Amino acid sequence: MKLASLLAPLAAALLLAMPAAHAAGGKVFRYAFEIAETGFDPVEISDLYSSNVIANIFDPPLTYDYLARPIKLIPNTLAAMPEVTENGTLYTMRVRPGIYFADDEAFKGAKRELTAHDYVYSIKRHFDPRKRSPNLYQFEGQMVGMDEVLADARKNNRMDYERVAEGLRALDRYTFQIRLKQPNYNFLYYLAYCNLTCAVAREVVEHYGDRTAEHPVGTGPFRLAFWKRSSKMVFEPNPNYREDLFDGTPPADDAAGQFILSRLKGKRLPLVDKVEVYVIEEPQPRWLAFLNNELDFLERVPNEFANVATPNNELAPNLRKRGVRMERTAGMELTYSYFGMKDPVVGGYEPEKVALRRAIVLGQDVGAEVRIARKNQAITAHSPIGPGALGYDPDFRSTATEYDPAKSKALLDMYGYVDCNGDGWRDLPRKSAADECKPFTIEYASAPSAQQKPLDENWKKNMDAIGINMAFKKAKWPDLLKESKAGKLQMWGLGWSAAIPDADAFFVMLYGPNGGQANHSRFDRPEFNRLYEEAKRLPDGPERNAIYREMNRLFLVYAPWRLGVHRIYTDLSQPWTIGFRRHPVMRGFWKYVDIDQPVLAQASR
Amino acid sequence: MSAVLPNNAPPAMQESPGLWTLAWRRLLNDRVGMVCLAIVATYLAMMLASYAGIVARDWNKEKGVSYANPSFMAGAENLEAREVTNKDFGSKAKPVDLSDIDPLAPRYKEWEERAAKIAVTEVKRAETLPFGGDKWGRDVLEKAIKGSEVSIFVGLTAALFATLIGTVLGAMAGYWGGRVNDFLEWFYNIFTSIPYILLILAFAAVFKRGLDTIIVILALTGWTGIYRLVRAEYIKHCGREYVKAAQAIGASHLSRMFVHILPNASHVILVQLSQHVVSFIKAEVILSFLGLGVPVDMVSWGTMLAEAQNELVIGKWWQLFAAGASMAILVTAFSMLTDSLRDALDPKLK
Repeated sequence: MKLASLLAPLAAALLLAMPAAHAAGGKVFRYAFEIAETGFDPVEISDLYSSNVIANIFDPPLTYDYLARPIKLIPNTLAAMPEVTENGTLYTMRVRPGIYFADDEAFKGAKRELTAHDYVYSIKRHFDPRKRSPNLYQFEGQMVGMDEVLADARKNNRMDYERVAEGLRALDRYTFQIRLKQPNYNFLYYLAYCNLTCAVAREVVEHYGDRTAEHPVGTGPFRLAFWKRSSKMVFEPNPNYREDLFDGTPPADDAAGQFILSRLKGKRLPLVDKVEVYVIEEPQPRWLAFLNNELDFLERVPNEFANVATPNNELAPNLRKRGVRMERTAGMELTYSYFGMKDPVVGGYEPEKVALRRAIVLGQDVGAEVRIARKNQAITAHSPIGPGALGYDPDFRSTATEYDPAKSKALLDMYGYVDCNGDGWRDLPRKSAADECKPFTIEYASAPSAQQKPLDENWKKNMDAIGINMAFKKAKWPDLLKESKAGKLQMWGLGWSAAIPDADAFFVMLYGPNGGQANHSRFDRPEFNRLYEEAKRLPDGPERNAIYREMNRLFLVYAPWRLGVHRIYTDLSQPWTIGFRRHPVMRGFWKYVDIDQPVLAQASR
Repeated sequence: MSAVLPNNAPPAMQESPGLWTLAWRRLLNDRVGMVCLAIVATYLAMMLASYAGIVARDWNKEKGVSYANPSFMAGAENLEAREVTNKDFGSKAKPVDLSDIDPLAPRYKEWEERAAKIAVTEVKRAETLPFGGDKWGRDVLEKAIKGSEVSIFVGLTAALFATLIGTVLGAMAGYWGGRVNDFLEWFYNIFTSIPYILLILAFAAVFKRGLDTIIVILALTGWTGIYRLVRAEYIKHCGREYVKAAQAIGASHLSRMFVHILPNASHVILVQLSQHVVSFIKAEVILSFLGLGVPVDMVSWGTMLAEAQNELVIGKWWQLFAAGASMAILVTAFSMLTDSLRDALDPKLK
């Protein structure tokens, strides 16, 4: 008796730790994240995994047609698309009445309707200095009057939410208006980007205070039911979710999209009764869990298993026989390794500093990274813009990003990075031969995971080959993110997925005033910043593309990053998992996913 | 009072063999022990040879294609080394001109001339390697040999240090008892109250990364078990007649502790030593796996095993086999050798 009572919690813990078999009756959709979430307050997060979660809990005003390609914006909580007037500077939005938040103790038992005030409040939260929004840079300098609000808030270290700015205000219960200082042709995409414009309720924020990130309460299809940090998340349908029926307009020649539409059209969303998300950082257990039917969907086949799952980039025969479906898409994204531009060794804009960075860039073999570490599941990046984004030029090539160790060594020799103390590593340049030798090490930050190791090995052997001593700083990813934001890292490798389908989503990481937010390297060149601001005022077209090209060139000569790759995503769905279609920028897809129970029952027999 | 009587005229008698001579004789008669000794000696020789750069000097060279097959499997298909081009993304466009904005542009010509002088040799990569290749095309056999350097060195030295700490502290606690014992027991409790892996991680977080650090960490965390056993042995032996006799002839405390009692407790210590070598080689695996162990430009059996766990799924078993077999043979030989040593050293078996 006593033993049993002791064992019960243990058994429960074990059950929680393992993806459980499908419970009878309810449809459960289970899949895994490769990197842990950080929290669920839209205003606080910038990492992809948390962003994926909140997009299923909260509602931005607009969303995308799930199946339309090229992508197409549609109203989400709005009654119609925003009215854009006055030369593209005045956006008027009407929220559809009758949309309710999920019930929460913060509402004291009352039903809480979504109003225009919620959107105004939620956007204002980005300007609250105490929230330290990583996305504030997207709004800075955009809306009439909000920069003044921000300046005052920073001065007092307190945000006055009552203060009404002309550029961001609610006209009545269901209407709100945004007035921009100048046309910004990406602003409509902001309205579909959950991290920026998802509606949170003020009562909830005030009720939970600093713990708001643990209590996401939204109007979206799901609500958080269980959360064990960095391990497991369970989401259940929001009972107050509005009537939302599956629809989409896939291109006629898109067989996968047409199949999904034919199976699910007209069904009420969300389709499953439960979503379970596990955090499985190591690739092998994630892959095996999928093969074992413990996961219904494998987001991004780990590279190690590319030749097992998709030899020659086609689905393996054994998986095809099981009925697994594959989707391969070049991500609108980028990996890069940045140099801390404020760092005394690798930072700076003097020719000698530029030369060091350019030499490191030339000496690093991205091709080997693609072939060996990424198993050809990526393409080499030639510009910071992700494939498919507006402004991406597939023919942009340069000699500055190629792999050429001879040129790299020549450049280091030329600028005085030679081995003067005879230890086999190059030392910093000296003013005269009589000066003391100044050895240096470059510290590359990286997370301790099996996937990171080959990348580290590649860096190490490449840098050995050109005589640069590289060391590695090992820490967990969220810790590195904190250090990076504080400007403490010399080099770090990052990935970036576009949230809006425009080159702007990538250049924000190089715009000087964004230093410490999206701009991890703190690259800051006046000529680049000017071009960036100019591009914002132009619509998509040859004129803007010419500016983007110029920005690319400036980026290449100052080399604040080593460009990495654009990854190719291979997603696998089990035969009973219906409805997943990778959208280039839209993040919340759970409500569109269905579990075909007869097929599942057959498979698990 | 306890002075030894001067023995001016030693009678001509046959010298009775000492403890170590007897032990050695017994060991020579133990065939298993001798085979194991030979294996361990071979490993040590291999490790030293690799350290001196006689073998596996260029283990880091990429000699073969990615996951090159072992020579005895020459014909097998190697998917990993096959070129898969992402055709849709190629381009023949001319590189963009940067010279008008490039801070390095004034020295383009000099740069080009210098670069032309630096020869880059393209290495021909072999399709097969004697015992197969890893993902970068490095020879797995050479990696295993080079890896032995780190693994054996770390395992052995850390175990020696841990045994040393455990023995000295255990001897003190057991021999003196009282306050010394209380203090050391308290100290021991602190160490054992923290879970082992957490303790290792805590030390790893504090110290700088490197091989010497791993040794220190393992030694500082691994001595506790040995300490307890040695302490018990000393408590047991302390009151025995031979120790009293030693005291009677005027042997000092240190002499009694380490000359008289230690040989009688040595079988326990030796077995502990061998077990700790084994467990430290494994601990190094864990540390390396967590990224806290050997740096990326070094190899150990631990890092090889960590790599191998993903390779097994794609059918590349040779790295796992090379590292696993090397480790298994050494560990088995070492355990059996210490077992034989124990038998040889046990005074009761005289």
